[in-house]
Amino acid sequence: MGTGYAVELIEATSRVEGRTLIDSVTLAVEAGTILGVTGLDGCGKSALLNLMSTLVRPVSGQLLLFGQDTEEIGEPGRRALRLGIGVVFEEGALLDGFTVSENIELPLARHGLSRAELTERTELWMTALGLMAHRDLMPYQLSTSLTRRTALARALATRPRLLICDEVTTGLDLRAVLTFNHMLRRLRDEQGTTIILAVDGLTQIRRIADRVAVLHAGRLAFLGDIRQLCEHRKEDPLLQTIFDDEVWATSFPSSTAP
Amino acid sequence: MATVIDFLGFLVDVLLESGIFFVTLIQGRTRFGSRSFKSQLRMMALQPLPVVSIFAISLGLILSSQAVHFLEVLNLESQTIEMIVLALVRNFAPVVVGIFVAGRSGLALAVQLGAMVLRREIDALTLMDISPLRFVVAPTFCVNLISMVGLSLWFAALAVLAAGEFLEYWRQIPITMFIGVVGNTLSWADLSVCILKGLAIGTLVVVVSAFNGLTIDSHAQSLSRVATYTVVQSLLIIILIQLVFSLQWL
Repeated sequence: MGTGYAVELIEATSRVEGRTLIDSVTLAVEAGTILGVTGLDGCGKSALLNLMSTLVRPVSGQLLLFGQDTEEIGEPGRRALRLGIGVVFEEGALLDGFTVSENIELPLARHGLSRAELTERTELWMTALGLMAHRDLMPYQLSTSLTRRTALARALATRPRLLICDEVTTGLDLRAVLTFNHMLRRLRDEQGTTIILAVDGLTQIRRIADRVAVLHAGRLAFLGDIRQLCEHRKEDPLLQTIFDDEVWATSFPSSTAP
Repeated sequence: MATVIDFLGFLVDVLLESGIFFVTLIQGRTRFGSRSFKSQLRMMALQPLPVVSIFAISLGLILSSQAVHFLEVLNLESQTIEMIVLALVRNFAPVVVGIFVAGRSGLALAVQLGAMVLRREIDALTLMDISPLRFVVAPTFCVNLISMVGLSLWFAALAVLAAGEFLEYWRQIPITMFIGVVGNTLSWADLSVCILKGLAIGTLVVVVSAFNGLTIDSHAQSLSRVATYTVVQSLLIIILIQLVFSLQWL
């Protein structure tokens, strides 16, 4: 695999609390593209993102970020790499005792910015994500959408080369999802940011992803673009099982409606 | 065995990170750390004062009433003041304050860190290259040492005064005379034992609490288990520290 890839996993396996969550996965994400990761609940989407963000180290296999083997470079190297990674967690993971603006400002302290630059960068992203009016609110005062926007602003303020989003559109209304998608596309197109999104189902992936990875029981069941997935789905019983579930879920309410 | 080694490694990490935090705090280079330090100081050193004072006065009264009775029976009445003072300053003050701190600040820290792990705030800090130990644990650690020593000395002073008041009221020993005997009895070594115990208890309570909080399993039920382990282990450690000091300074 070449160095035009932002993320490369080679036969990577991850284990947490004795359970194998990712089992021998090989995939590569081209720099400046959007990869959607999907699969049934518990298939290992979040575990894959944890692995890619270096929060969890592979017990076997390799993880390369921007061409660098994360095991070879050791902890100092991984810490340096993390500065170029922005992660938006499903939970938001905003720090409780800090306001919206402080939460966004916090990671910038490690980027060697002056006080004025720090404030300017924070305000820039608060404005871009419509957070200025909420800048002094604490995390517990925020709605789901505002929490996610703050988390996104925090991740983007550091101008990451790799943005990882774990089910961040879950629970948001359509308008918020579309705004979010628009922003991600601009990041990809204007800044060349590589984006990896974990989502449930295919709807969000159809809207935004360049490529899709389907996980099943911690293993990679499919990797390709959405058109290829639609073709494979007709022939692959595993993909049918994964996505038929979705069909069943969407048809359930109408068949039981009074 | 692996857990003990992990714990010792963690203890070293906490001491190092707290040392670095303290230096940056003094140099005024940590804006968020300074805010956290001040709020912890208010929460851990000032807010507990009323309750610690009630504990101290009650224990001073209880101990003096019991001591007067039993030492009278044993014909050792002349030793009453010495016995009360040494017991309160060297033993009860740091231990009772330690138990109070373990149940209040230690437990709060363990649950806070456990919740931060479950809400992925610790992961977020790691990704920002911010050490959770320096950011969350170090301010608590520094404040805890200050509050353990301060509250132990405050506790000792109030408890001794309460005992003096009891003796004046029930045994007609003038308080001025009582204070004179206290001054002659109490040595720097006694105060040092009180302070050293406070520091040892303060250190280990924070480390035990932080270790339990940060090593929480990734499901919500484990939060209650973390709270239980923290309190039980902290109490055990306080008793062990008391034992070590008792054997060392017979």
